Amino acid sequence: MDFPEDLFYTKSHEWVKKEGNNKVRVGITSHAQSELGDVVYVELPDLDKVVKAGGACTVVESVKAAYDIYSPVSGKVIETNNDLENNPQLVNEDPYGKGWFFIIEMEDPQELTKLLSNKDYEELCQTK
Amino acid sequence: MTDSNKKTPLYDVHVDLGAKIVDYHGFLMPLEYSSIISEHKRVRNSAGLFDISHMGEIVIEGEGATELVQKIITNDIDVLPDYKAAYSPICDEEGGIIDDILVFKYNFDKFMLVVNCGNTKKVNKWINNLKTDNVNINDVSDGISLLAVQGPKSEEIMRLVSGDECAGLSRFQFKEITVGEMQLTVSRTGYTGEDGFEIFVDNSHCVDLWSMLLEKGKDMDLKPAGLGARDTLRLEAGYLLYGNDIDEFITPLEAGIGWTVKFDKTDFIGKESLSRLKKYGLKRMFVAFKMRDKGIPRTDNEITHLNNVVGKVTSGTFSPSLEIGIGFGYVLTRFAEQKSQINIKIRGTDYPALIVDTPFIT
Repeated sequence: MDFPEDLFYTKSHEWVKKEGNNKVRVGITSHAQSELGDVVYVELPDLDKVVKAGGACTVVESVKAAYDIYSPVSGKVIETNNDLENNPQLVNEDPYGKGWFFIIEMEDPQELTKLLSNKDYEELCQTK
Repeated sequence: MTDSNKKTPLYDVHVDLGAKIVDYHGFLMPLEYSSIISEHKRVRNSAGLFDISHMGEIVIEGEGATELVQKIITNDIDVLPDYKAAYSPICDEEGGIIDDILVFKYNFDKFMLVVNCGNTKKVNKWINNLKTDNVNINDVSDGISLLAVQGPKSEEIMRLVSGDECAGLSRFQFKEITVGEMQLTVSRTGYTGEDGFEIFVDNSHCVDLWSMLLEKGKDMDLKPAGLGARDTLRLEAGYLLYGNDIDEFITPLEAGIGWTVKFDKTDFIGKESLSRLKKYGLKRMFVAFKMRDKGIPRTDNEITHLNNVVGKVTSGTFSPSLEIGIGFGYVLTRFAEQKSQINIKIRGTDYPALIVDTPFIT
């Protein structure tokens, strides 16, 4: 399992990549996609949607069930990955790359300090 | 759940293969080995091997066997030839479904009931309460394993296992054969909508049989398939799942399996209630539906018509073959009869769906 060092993580299995001062790209981890199985649908948030850290903002569906995706930080959705509409399997194939979900403009960049490091997250996955 | 964490003889094999394990009615079973979609497609295109040893088997033997079986099931096995199996509900006095089973008829004095794992104890108790002195009832579930070879290549694979012995079986026919040291009961049955065989084997030979089948089937792309694919396959085929689509509060008439209720045969449990229901009409009926575009239906989603709730989803999934959401549910009778325009309410939004006939795939 892959836990890239340059990312932040959440207990709910999202990854966060800092892009510029106050923007982050968000997706779900390799561990999460593997647990879900074949992803067949991603319901992305609307652009400009205001999200709260820890609030459900997206739904991803595998063959088995639907799962909520939580926003790791508070802010506004400024971009979503439209490729997922026709190719939801990108979440399985490339969770840290082409399978990203959305970009958020953060309200408070300090929130990043509350997220997990790759080491902490890896530990969390192993204890489960 | 009283017997949690029961394992089939293949449990370690599944774990070694990297299967995701789930608790299914107390049994630790493989959900998927690689991916539900690839296992599903393999069964549709070549063949898949399932461990379904969680299923229960109850043997009824003796002079009174036919009479007892006829009393507990709604279908008629009197006219069934020897060495043939039949699908039937077992109903309670109100016509509610206690279980849906396969009855294997050896002869008038011997039957094997293949029951859902979550219902084995309940059914065994139910039958024992009706037992007469001239029958013996044995729940042999704990000693018997069951493997299923399913898919268009199944016959070719079985030919490599036992020559023409099983390859010649007709649908729902079964046979007892010996392969090496293994005593097998092989039936041409399944739960996938494909041609296929189900093989009963003593627990002690289960792992050997599994390995032999994979070895014989390797040129036909036979690989293990899990319960996840079993579920998507049965939905596409239009087969009901006990606990989801049917239970003690639903009758076979409502469930769209009225053909299994033989009112003309000798008396059976539930007959009176079912006759009354048939005469006075059904309030709700089973429907199968296909999403028109987006949305994946899930159990308990509401079914709506012009903003009114008219029913509920009992099973739903993404169909790997059709690449669209499909499902089963119950709606008020007139909506089923008129095949009305329905919507499935998913996370607060109505998504249009079409009532269709099963199977979804041909």
